[in-house]
Amino acid sequence: MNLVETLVASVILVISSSCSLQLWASSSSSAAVAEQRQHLLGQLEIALLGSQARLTALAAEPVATDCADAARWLAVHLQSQPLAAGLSRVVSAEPGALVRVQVSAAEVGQRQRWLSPAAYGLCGPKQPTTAPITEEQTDATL
Amino acid sequence: MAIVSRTARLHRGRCRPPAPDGFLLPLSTAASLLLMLSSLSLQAAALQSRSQVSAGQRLRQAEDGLMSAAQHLLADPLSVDQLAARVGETGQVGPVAYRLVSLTGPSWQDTAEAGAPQRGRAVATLELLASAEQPRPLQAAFALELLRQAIPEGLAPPQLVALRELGLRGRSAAVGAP
Repeated sequence: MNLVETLVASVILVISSSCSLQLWASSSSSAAVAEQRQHLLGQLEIALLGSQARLTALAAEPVATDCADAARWLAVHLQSQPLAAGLSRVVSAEPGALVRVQVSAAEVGQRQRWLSPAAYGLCGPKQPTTAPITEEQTDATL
Repeated sequence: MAIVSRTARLHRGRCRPPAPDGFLLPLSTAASLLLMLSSLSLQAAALQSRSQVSAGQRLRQAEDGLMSAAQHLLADPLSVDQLAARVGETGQVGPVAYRLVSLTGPSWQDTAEAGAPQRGRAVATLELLASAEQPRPLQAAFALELLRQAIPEGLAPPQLVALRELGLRGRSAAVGAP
């Protein structure tokens, strides 16, 4: 009788400890995955906001009179900005004088924003004031 | 003497067995219960953090949508003047459908010296339109930094120089400028 009780007790203990060990392992591995994911999401955010900050830095210096030209120049300019490892970026000029910035990382997903050169005063009736930017623009359109 | 020793042995014999008898089973049950509870609570915490990450991601995507909407609204450089007349207008950029809820301003600062460009600021509130995955759409406010040159005839039409995000404004009816 005593032997039976010992056996039952040890069986219960073994089953429960193996179960809880599995749960521990799965939850700790998922926590590690979540941390990695969070890190990549932060990198995506940084890349996207970096593109926008670049636009803010260029603000109020018209690069072209036509907004579609400015959008094309901006697409080339933003594409040439440095990017963190593990991310990929697609910048394209869209109809309606917009620039679409899409930043994606494997297994995390992607984020995209449409940016407008007109919202930062990069195009308009005012003539381009700085010569180097105009040269760069002709390079970009070629 | 012999009787005393026999009763003592009897007494001892009756007392000893019950102590270890029902002892191991409750102990192991309690220990296994404790183990299971602790691992289950860890699992619940991991699931919770995962759902939190995905909720944050949805919020960021809504922010992206609102920023894209604001940029799309201002894609025409001549439209700044007529922005007040476009309140209530809807638009679509990519998968994002939006509506301009309100516009406050523009308010102009007094220039320090004559001839210097005058700075001003307007606040536009935009709202995403309700969709299948977002039944209660979010609103966000954006600050429009304006600049107008002083020309001999008076003041030139305002020119937009920057667009800044002022943050999400909840989901309910329109909230005014800060």
